[in-house]
Formats: sequence, structure tokens, C-alpha cells
Amino acid sequence: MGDGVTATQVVFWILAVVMLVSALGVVTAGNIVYAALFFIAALAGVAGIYLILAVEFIALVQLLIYGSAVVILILFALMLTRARERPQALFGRTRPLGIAAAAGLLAALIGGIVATQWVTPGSAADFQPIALQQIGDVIFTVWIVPFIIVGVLLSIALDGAIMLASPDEEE
Amino acid sequence: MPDLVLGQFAGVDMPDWVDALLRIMFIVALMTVNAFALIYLERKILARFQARVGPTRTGPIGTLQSIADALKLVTKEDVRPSTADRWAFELAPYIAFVPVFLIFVPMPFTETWFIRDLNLGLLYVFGVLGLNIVGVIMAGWGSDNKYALLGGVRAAAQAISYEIPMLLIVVSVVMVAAGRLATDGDVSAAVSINGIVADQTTTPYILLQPLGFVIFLIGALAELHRPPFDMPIAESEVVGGYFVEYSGMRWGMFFLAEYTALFLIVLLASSIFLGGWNWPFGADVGLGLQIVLTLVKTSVMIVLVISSRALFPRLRIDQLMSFSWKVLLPFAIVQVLANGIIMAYGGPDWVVGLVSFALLLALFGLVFALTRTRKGGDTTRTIQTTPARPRVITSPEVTAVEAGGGD
Amino acid sequence: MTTTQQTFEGEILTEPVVVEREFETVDMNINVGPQHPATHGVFRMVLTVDGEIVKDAIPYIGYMHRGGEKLSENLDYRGALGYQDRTDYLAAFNSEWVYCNAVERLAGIEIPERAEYVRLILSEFNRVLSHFMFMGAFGTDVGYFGTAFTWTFKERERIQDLFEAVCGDRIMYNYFRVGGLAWEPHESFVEDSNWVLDQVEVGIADVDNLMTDNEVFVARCRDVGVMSAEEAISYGVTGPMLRASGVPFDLRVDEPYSIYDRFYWEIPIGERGDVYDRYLVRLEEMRQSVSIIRQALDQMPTSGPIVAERLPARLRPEPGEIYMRQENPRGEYGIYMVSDGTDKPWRVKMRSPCFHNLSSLRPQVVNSYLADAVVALGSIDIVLCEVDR
Repeated sequence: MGDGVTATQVVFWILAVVMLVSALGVVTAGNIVYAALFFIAALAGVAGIYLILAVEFIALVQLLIYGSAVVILILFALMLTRARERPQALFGRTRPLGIAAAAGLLAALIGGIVATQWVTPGSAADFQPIALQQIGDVIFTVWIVPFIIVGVLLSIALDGAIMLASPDEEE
Repeated sequence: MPDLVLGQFAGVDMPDWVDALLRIMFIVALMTVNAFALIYLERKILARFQARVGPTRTGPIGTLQSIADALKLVTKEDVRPSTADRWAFELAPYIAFVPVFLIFVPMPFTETWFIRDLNLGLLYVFGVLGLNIVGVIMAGWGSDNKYALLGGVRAAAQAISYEIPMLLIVVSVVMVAAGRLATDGDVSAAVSINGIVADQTTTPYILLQPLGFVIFLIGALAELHRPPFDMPIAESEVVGGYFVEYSGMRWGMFFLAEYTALFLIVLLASSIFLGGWNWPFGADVGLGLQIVLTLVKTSVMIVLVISSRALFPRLRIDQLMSFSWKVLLPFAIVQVLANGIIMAYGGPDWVVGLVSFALLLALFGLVFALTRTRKGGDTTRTIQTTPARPRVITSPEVTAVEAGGGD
Repeated sequence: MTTTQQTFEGEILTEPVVVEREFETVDMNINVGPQHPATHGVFRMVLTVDGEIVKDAIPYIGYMHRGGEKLSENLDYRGALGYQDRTDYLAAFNSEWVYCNAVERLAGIEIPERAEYVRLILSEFNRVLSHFMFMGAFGTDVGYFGTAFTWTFKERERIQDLFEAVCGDRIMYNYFRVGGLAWEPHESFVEDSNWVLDQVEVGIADVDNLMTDNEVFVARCRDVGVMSAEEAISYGVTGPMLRASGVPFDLRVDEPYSIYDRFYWEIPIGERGDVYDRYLVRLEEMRQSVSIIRQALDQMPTSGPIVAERLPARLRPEPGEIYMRQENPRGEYGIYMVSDGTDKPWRVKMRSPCFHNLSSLRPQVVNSYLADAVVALGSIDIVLCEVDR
């Protein structure tokens, strides 16, 4: 592998293509179950990118939470409801709003990419994977308040979901 | 920690990619042999439980039966229902199969025999295994069969619910390992499977986390769709579940995935709870004894898992869910909290083990109470007998022709 | 969400389906049977399920209808006996016995005591056999992977071996005759029966150990398919199902026939009328049957005729009618027979217990889980040949 192409770069480009294709698939697939499956592929691609960045922990958590659990719950809902039976209109009345939101997001991302001072890693040897311990230390000391707030928020969401889903007592 | 380099055995230096290729081939071979052996074992053991003899005709005492089955599967026509969703249907077996294949990577067979010793091995296993469900749910949805859909949905619900208590138990195991390694080793090995095994020279973790072992085993049964948690493939309800429409080798892939997962999850359990290659002989006994030790422990647990299939009926889906969320999850959380509190105050290992054991007894007591007493505290047997009215024997009763008795 | 739906009272509710909310779960119609592992033959039910909850169940029967009643009317009184084997093929002796008794009472034939004992012993053995079959099939429904099935079939085989020794056939015995038996049971009948009884007792204990106290089994069966005594009576449910609902009704006692008044035994009664009680009642009934058989074997005369004397070559009963009903393993099996004085019955009607028991399925399974529907169906212990006749 001459002219400076490393294995990491090859993997990166493969992942990038996979992610792009799946992301496009999510929004263009007519079948909503396909969209959910593409979504899994896109999220798995993100996990791959995390792996390349040597943050294995986040990559695995991404797989564990998003790659399987969350999307499976979405699929679950789609399969048991009527949503899968009707073709989904790709563009509705909210089209201009959607375009505006997407354009705004794109601009923000490009701006962010351009404005960032990127650090070029010297070589693979300089790379120190972040130890799990450090992540734990940081979460439970520096970021403890956001952590708790997020926990409470998720609990409330869960309670709400249970309340919505529980069958009516009479009947 | 020394890594397995296959070249050592041949005495040659080989490039990395040859090494990697050899490892992959090793996994594939191991997986196939393992599936053949397990299928044969399962059939024989089940047969013994069921007053039968099992396969006897193919090969000596039926040992070639699995190979005959495999040949049959390979030569069978691959049928795709015309209304099935083509992509989902055809891709599903691979997506169900590949993640299981991948969790071979961090599994330690001996001190030095594994594909790669991953730092986050335990997390890796669960992260990758979860993807397996995507394949199952694709199969269920793509088959365009209501039984398959129900089976797929059941499998997904079950996998998600049982992953959580299992993960929490893994957390509690990691806590114990980290606590022990903090005193005499490298804490970063606490999430690596081999690191945990290496720490169990004198004390297998089943003594420190008996509750963890039981919950892990229950979760493993659910994850593997083994009775009493086999609703996704319940024959009398959903006729086989998510793979009901599959035939030939595609069905075989699900089967292969199932048996490989059985072996690997049980291997994982015997590694993190029973000391894998380490306990009770330690690291100095040589590779031969270590691998025998690993396989013996794994086999014993596999026999346990298989016998559960012979001896337990199947739970209902709501009972399964409430058992996971209302019983196992709280116990797992309490276990994590208890470990945290004890270790924060510097409690010794035996306190951890004792508390876990007490929790285990509480779990058993609760399950016993839940099943024996329902609504009003009745016991299971409520049958009464009333004596049939005894009569005086006179002569054989002869009734004259009666018209229109009855109702 | 309501689609066209027939309530049990027969009124048809037709409401237009107005579903605008996309994320309402969709009711699925699941066709269970006629070829499905849980339907014990060619029974079919269409379950409307919302996820795992059964919203409606419509049973379809008739796949096995062979017109046994009409066929019997075109044969003479003896010739139609063979059809009885083929209605309730799991309890063929019991069905034969009902038919023989009906004809004998209609024609005023007295049968010898020894034949009565042999009939009773074989019928009670058949009850045990049938209940073993139930245990096995029900165990499979609940989810035993074959263990219950093979264990019970082991015992069933022993009883069938005995039957084979007696009459030469394992399922379609055709051994009872109007007026007695076809031929003497084989010489070692009593010893063989005693040996089989010993084995059967072990088998019953095995089943008991395997299933009764198994936590999972109890969890699956308790409070499933509950039927109150009133409901059971109003549906015409009979047999172990009725007794499981707490009604101590057993034709062997309440309308005694044959020589059941010579033995002491007990009638098991359930309290809650759920699936578990039905299982327990059947389990206990097997023990009681064993006890009856033991007493009968002790009392049975060692020699004597087995066929009534002076039987006419062609039976021409006086014009009249009879309804003979007996306690089959599955409930009240009745033969209603009208004679017009010729050598063929003018009308034969079979009252099959499973037909009535099966009719109570729908209220048992509606609003229960899909898995409970399977278990409730299994607990009825249907024999489709008998339902459809």
C-alpha cells in the first residue's frame, strides 16, 4: 500500500460510504421498516468511526444502545402498528420547513468543521486510548450534575411512556 | 499478557494477514465442529431424559447424525415465499449469524489462547450480540408470516429485557474484579474477560457473586431462547417463530447461530463466574490442562442448559417480561448497589459474597412465594375428592328399556 | 378498533373501521389450524390478536365429519359397532361400551357377569390411557419439549400392549359385542393387568413429579381458562372439565350403569375451574381408575360365559327409544337410538362430550394471552373425530 494510504483510511472511506448510503436510505426509503433498518446501518457506521478514533467504549455503547435496543424498539412499534401498511409520503406540506432546517444544520456543521483547529495525530504510537476508568471518573465527578439531570429526564420519559401505554382500567 | 501467535506452533514468522486468516479459519472450523457436537449432544441428552435412545443409526452410536443433517440442509431447496420481502428475508440469516460469530474474538480458552484479548471484552460481547436481534426481527418481519412476525417481536422484546439485568450483573462482576485488581494488579483488566479469568486463581467469582451467576444464567437462557424462555420459537404457539418460513441452509444459519451462541455464552459464564482456565489449578498447569478445564466447565453448564429444555415448560410472554423487569432487574440493581457500598467502605471479599448469597436466597424465596401463593394465598393443590356413594351390592343391575332418559 | 365481529349472542356488530391514528396497534387475524402443532388434529380457530392478547376466537370444526350417525342407521345393530371405535379413538373401549349397552338395553339382553367385569376393566384402562395421552399432549402445549409426551407414551404403550394381547388391536379394538365380548381374554389377563397397573402407578407418579409442582407449569396453568360451575353447566360441559369447575357430577355414580356400584372410589373435584384444576382432576382420576381396576380384578369371576345365551342371529328390538349415556374419559358420551322394529336402527345420535366441551372455548380464551389460548384448548382434551363424528 504505497502513496500514503493507510488501512485506517481505507476503513474510514468504506465506513463513510456505508454511512452516507444508509443515511440517504433512511430518508428516501419508501418502506418505513427499511428506513429503520438503514438507520441501524448508519448508527453501526458511526460506531465504526468511533472505533477508528480509538474510543472503543463509546463505539460499543453506541452499538449496544442505539444499534440494537433503541432501533429495535422503533421497529417493534412499526411492525405492530398500521404505520407499515401505508406508503409514506416523502414530501409533505412541511417541505420548506424541512429544507430550511436541513440547510441550517448543514451550515452549522460546515461552519464547525471549518472553524475547528484540527490536530493531526503524529502517528499511531502517539495515540493513547482513553481508559474506561478515566471516563468513569469524569462522569461521576465533573459531569455528575448533567448526568443526574439526564437520568431524571429519562426516568420521567419512561414513566410517561408507561402511563400512555398502560391499558385503561375499566373495559 | 501474551497473545496467541499461530506462527509459534509452526516455528515460522508469518505476516499479519496470514495470521488473521488462520484465526478466522480456526473460528469457522471450531464453530462448525461445535455445532455438530452440540446438536448430537443435545439429541442424546434429551433422549435420555425422555426415555428414548436418540440417534443410533448414522455412524457409531449415531455420532454422524449431525453431519447427515447438515448434508440434508445443504442439499435442500432454498424456498423464499413469493410475498416475502426479498432483502429482509435473504439478509436476515447473515445478520443474525455474523454477530454471534464475532463474539468468538475475546473468548479465552486458555491463558494464551484467544483471538484477541480485548480490553473491553465484556462490553464487546454484549454490544455485538445485541445486533443478532436485528437479524431475527428482519426474519420475522420479512417472512410475511404472522407467526414469524409474532416470533420476531417476542424475540426482540425478550432480548432487550434480559440484556439489561445481564449487563447490570456484568457491571457488578466488573466492580468486584476492579476491587480485587486494584490491590494486586492492573485495574484496566477488569473489563477484559481474560483479565477476569486471570484473577480467579483461588476464588471463582461464583463465590463472590452467586446471585450474579444465577441471574446471568437465567438471562442466558432467555438470550438463547432456551426453555423456559423459548417463546420466540414456541412450536405449540407460533409454530417455530421467526424462522418458520426458512428452509435449507438459511434455516441452517439460524441453527448454527443458535448453537454457537449457546457455546459462547456458556463459555462466557464459565469464564467470568467459574474461573475459566484458571480455577482451581492456577496458571502454571500448562495449556493442555487449561483447555480441558475450560471445556469441562463449559460442558457441565451446557448439559445444565440442555436439561432445562427437557424439564421445564415454557413461560408466558408477560410472565417472562415481568420476571425480568420486576424481579431480576431490581435484584441486579440491588446487587450493584450492595457491591458499591461494601467496596466503598473497604469491605472484604467474603462480605461481598455473603451479601450476594443473601440476595440470592431472597430471590429464591420471592420466586417460591410468587409461584406457590397467588390471589389469596392458596397452595398449588386445591383438589378435593368426594367419595363416590357406596352402594350395597345386590345383583348385577339390569335396567328395563327406558325411553328418553338423559337431558 | 372494531371490524365486523360477531358477538357470542349472535348479533353482528358492524362498525366502519375508522383508524386515523397511525400508531394504534393493528389487530391481526391468526389462523390456527387445521394444521398447527397445537390443535390436536384438524381443528381450526381464527384468533384475532392485538399483539399477544387474543381479542376474539372463532372455532371451525367439521374437517373430520364422516357421517358416523347416518352410516350407523344403514347398518344393522351389530355392524355399526365399528364406528364407535372411530369416533373417540383414544377411548374406543368406552365408546363401544356405550353403544353395546344402548343396544342391549333396547333389545333387553342381559350380559354375563364376567363379560361385564372385563368390559369395565378394559374401559377403565382406556380411561387411564386416554388421560395419559392428555398429559403428554397437554405437556407439549404448555411447552415441555417432548419429555411429558414420551413419558406418558411409555405407559400408554404398556396399556396398548395389554389391549393387543386381549383383542389383537392397539387402537381400533372392536372387541365388545352386543351381548358380551368377542372372545375370551387371553389366559394371563389378570396377571398382565396387575403388572400393567403396577407400571402405570409408577408412570402416574412420574408425571406427577414432572409436572404438578413445577413452578413454571403452575404459573402457566393457574387461573387460565377459568370457568365457573354455572358457566360449565350452561355450556353442557361434562367430564373432568365439569368436575374441575367444582361440580361433582360423574355418571358412574349419578346414573349408575354396569357394576360401578360394587367398588369404592372417589371423585376428584376442582375448586377454581382453571386449567390446572382440570389437569389435577385428570391426574387424580387416573389413580382412582387404577383403584377401580384393582378391585374389579379381585372380584372378577375366574370362569363363566362371556356372551349372553340365546342371542338372535338378527337383532330386531321392539319399537322404542333409548338414551344411554356413560362417563367417557372426556365426559358424557351418549347414544340415542330409536328402533322401528326392523334390524336397523331408525335413528342413531351420538352425544359427544368434546363437542360441548369445545363450545366453551371461546369465553375461556377471549382477552387472554395467545399462549393461554393454546393451553386452554389443550386442557379441553379434544378428539376431533369425536367432535365431528
